[in-house]
Amino acid sequence: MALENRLKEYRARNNLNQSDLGKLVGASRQTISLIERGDYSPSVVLALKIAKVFGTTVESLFLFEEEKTL
Amino acid sequence: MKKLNITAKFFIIMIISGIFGGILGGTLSMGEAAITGFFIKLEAFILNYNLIIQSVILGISALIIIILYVTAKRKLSQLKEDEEAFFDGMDRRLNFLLPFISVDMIFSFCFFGVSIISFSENFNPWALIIFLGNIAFTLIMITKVIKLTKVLYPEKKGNPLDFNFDKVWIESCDEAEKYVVYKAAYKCYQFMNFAYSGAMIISLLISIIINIGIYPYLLLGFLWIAQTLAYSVNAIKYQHGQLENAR
Repeated sequence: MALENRLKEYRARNNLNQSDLGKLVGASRQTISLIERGDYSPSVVLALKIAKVFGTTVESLFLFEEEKTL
Repeated sequence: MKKLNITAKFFIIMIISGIFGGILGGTLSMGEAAITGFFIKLEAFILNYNLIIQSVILGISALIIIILYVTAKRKLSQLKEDEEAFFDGMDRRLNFLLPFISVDMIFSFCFFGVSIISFSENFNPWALIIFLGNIAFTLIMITKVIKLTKVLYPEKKGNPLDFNFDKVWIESCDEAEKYVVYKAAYKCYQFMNFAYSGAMIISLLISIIINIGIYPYLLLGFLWIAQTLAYSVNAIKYQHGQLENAR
């Protein structure tokens, strides 16, 4: 199972750096960086806050892909 | 089948460890004179040259800490909000500097402990001066590094000289930072369980050849039990609705 995200793409589109986005959602730059790299899966609350900043849905920001089993 | 294999593996490892421990204990008792001589010489060397050893180790550590701090501070003065690689680099520097200072402080306590073994006979006041000097140095450096971290992350709160620092600091961390702290704390718990059992075994082996008294066992036992109970009590507390992450 892998949680991929389009955070970097949305951030670039909205001309926001990691610190700016962090301030808008009440998280640190480190946390935004961890999420973007796929090293941390945000809580439901944080995912909703990020989606709200970009005016989109959590599903369009975060893509959950289940591993293919034979 | 898998469960049986794990159980069998556990018992095999326990039997091999027992045999190995027996052989090692036997060997140690056979070479008792040589090993006892080595430990007595090592202790005498540390006691005789304690001041020189601690001056060299603490001096080199202080020099490294100052160099790392000055370079980090200089780099931080070139802070650029948009450069993500810059932030990651600074994180790594500061993440290395703080534990290094803490290790230096622990060394200081160990060396001072060695110094006061001969307190009633020939205590050297320089030991106290070096100890107090190094503790003051490490406290100042911790405060300065925390201030640098706050420049990088202004949302962070807490004064390291405040007894509530850990509580205030963790409250100013966001969810991912807390997750990192909690995960690291659990890894530390796992490691310390191994470390305590390892220290107990080493003490047992040394006891075969040298009388180390009862205090190593009492101290290790107390710390091991304290850690186990602290973990268990808090785990029970959090399982019953005091996680406080729903806010």
